[in-house]
Amino acid sequence: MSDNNIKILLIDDEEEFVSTLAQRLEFRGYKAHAVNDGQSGIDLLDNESFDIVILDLMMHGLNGIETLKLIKNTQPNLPVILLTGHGSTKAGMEGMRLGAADYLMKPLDIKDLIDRISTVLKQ
Amino acid sequence: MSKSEKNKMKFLKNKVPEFWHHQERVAGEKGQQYIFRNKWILLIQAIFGLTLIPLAISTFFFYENNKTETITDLLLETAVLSRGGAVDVEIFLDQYVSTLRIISSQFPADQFKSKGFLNSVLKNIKKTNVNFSSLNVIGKKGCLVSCCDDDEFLSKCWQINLTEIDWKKDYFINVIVTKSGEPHLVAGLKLKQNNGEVFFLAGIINNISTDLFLKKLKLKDIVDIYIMDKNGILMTSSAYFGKPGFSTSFHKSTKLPLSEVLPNPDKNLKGGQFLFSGISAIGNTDMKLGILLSNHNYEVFMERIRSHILIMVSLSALFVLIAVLILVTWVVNVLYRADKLRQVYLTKASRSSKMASIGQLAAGVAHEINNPLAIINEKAGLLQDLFTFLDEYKDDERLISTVGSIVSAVERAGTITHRLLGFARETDSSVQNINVKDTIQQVLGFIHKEAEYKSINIDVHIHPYLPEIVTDNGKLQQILINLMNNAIAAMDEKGTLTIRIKDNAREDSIELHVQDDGCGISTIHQKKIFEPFFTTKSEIGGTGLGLSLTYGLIRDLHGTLEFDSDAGVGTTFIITLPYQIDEEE
Repeated sequence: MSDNNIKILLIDDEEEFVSTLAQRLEFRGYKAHAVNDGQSGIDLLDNESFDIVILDLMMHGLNGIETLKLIKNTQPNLPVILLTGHGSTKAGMEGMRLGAADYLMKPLDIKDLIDRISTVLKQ
Repeated sequence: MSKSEKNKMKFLKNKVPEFWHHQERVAGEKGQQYIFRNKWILLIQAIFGLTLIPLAISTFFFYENNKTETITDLLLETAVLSRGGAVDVEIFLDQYVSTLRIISSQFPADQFKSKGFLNSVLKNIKKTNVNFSSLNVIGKKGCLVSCCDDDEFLSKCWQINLTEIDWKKDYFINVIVTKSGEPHLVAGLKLKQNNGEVFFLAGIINNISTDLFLKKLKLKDIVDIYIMDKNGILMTSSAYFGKPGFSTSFHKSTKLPLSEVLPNPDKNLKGGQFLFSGISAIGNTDMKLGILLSNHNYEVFMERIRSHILIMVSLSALFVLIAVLILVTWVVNVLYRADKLRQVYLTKASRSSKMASIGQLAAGVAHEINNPLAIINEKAGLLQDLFTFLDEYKDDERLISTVGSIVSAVERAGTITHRLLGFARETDSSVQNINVKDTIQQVLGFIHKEAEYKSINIDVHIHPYLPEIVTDNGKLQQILINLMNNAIAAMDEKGTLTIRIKDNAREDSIELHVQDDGCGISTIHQKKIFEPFFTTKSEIGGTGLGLSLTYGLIRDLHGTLEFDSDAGVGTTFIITLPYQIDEEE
């Protein structure tokens, strides 16, 4: 799959962060769509198909783990990479136990993120 | 000071209890107070005082009991002595009656009525018994029938004193007192004439001889001896009661022998403040013999009792004092140690609580900073992308380098926030069986280059039978790297880093010592070294997170971290790790 065809859904309640990240991914040829809460992401996934989801764990409203569970209920094969702003890897490991493909800590290294996306999609 | 004196001082110093020199500030008091020493003194006084009260009470009762028993014994002794004296007096008087009996048996009774015959008989008697001063014949009703030439002046006395003669008895012994107050003993023998008329042949006994006899009875402790009639009227003079005819304290209804204590308030008699009085009846007469004993024996006995009591009480008090001293010293020492231990625990708890609070605060701050940092990172990244991907900026090295610096600074800040979060984090554990000796070798592999660069010698001492432990090897490596790096940084060239691992089987744990002979940690800094961002190496890039992270890591491994440091001598960090982490904790 070429980068131009990869559709990424970004879900994070930090609008500045997620919109900037979307732009950076688009610079790199991805089709990135950003939403600012878990419910919006779930709704969008019902209507549109994505190749991968980047999901923040700490969000207002539906948090990352709850959103992950809902995604996995409807689309168990959709890969999800988790983002965590907390130094602990515990939440990330918990997410992976629930079906997340990988997790990354903020602040992100864009190269690292792209490597992970590629690896996950290859799997 | 000589060597023996020094040894003596050293011995005394070892004997001083631990709390003796302990001082601390007390609320409301000025300056440092010897609180445990003061408590010790107070307890000694209170307990010793309280234990002396029952001792004093029992001593008092013991003394009083002995006093009563002594008086009872001495009263009994006085009664016996008076009874013995009365028997002696009885024998003394009987000899006169016997003399009269012998005389009367040799002559017809009628002849004794003749004055001339009486004079002749008296003259003969005086040759053998000088104590007879006269002979008299007394008729019924006590009237004088006949008498010797010398004794006519006594005629009225007979009337007064001999009216109560018991005519049923065949003899009597009594005392008459002359007008001048002189007492005279009279012994009378009943004689019967041929015509059946009865009269008494009475011999008056010289009063000097009576006094002499009584003086013979005066033993060492007898201070007074006297004879009285059945009504308690003195028949002989008494040093205590007075002249013949004076009344004594005796009452005729009293049972004899009698013994009692009489006061001697004015000390008229030598014998002390009180006297022992004994009274006994003189056999075959109505007379009584009284004696007064000094309290000398009583004083001697009581003095002995007092000496015994003093010795007993002194020894008891000494024993109690020694027991109280030992007991109170032990108790106060135990209290002192418990207090010291409590302070250590409080300090540890306080430090632990402080570290936990700091950890939570650091985690909160780091988390809040992390999100804006992520935005800055992305924004800077976007700028970098714009400069890189858009043709109009991609040749402007200065812009690209500036944005690169921002991204690099954000990355650095991110590292710090991750470390801060790591200080308080609940980490995923990778618990496994490890050989600590292998871990040490792995860590030494990391740091040996740095040690070689500073010519630092590394000594490793590992317990030969060290058991494998169940813990997180990665965290243990990180802990050891941090501590060894600190040790190397603290030492100048050619220092020695000593790693020592001990097995503490009693507590199912091992001890890791990381010791350096570097600059040490000053007392002021010792209180702060586990606080995040506290560093003495800020000029060379120290973040002040090393030891706080190490502390958090050791806590994750359920271990403890302590240290011992002297400025200028070196520092030893001591890690205690359990044989096995209880994962449920």
